[in-house]
Amino acid sequence: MRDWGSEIRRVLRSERGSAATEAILVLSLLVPMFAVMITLGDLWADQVALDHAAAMAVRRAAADGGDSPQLRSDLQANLAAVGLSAGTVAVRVQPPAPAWQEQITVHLRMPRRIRIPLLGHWDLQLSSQFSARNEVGEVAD
Amino acid sequence: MGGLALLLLGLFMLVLAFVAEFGALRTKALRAQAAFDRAALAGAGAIDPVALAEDGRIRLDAPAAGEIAREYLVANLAPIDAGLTGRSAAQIAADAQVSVSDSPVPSVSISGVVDLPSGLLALIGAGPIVSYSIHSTSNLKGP
Repeated sequence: MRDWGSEIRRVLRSERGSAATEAILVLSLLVPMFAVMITLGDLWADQVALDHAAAMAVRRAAADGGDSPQLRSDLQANLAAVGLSAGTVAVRVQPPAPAWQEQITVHLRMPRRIRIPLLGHWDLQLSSQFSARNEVGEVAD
Repeated sequence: MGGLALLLLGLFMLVLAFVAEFGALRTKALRAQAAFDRAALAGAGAIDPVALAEDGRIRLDAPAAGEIAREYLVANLAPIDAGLTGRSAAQIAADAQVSVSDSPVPSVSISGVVDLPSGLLALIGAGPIVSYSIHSTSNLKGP
């Protein structure tokens, strides 16, 4: 019967074996690092997209006098344009129907899971918030 | 060979750290630019009601426009206040230059400096703080 343990030790001690061991060690570090770079880029792209969507949404909210179906549909279109699903984004418009010139805030929150090969996965929360001055409503006396 | 591989690996990790730091800085700078844009836009909504009632012309109420622009700069920088260094959102807004003009079109301009921590970029001579000069103008168009 073949002794696999001593066979592996013999290969590892040889020059080719040590080169292979080095390659495995280096690759086990390089692969997660490449994944981290790609994931970070992806995260920032999503954050910038969320910021843009929130900024556009608050503009719409100010022009419509609060939360509106048009705001939701514009938001959905803006998120879809950058490959994000509106279903995964929690939207809060506060207050939903502000008085004229009152501050209105749109808050977007999106859960995000990042996976790094050989390291694991983490759950993050991306969020963005913008405020504007409501332009619609009755002028106070 | 082993030493060279380790050296290259170290260099690669350093490059990765710089890329991460630079990306984070750019994201924050873009967010700050959006805050200035919202502030200028809010300021441009301060229409002078007296001028409008008297001659139907759309003009800006300059003191109110400046005050509103600063108020909304604070409101929109507040969510990233923790990521700023040195000066807070309120201080950045207080130091910002706001100019209101009625010619050729009513407009509000706001300029300011946002300081962000440079993190690892300090190692390559960026200093502990990276300052971004941000400018935004909003023009008011009548019906």
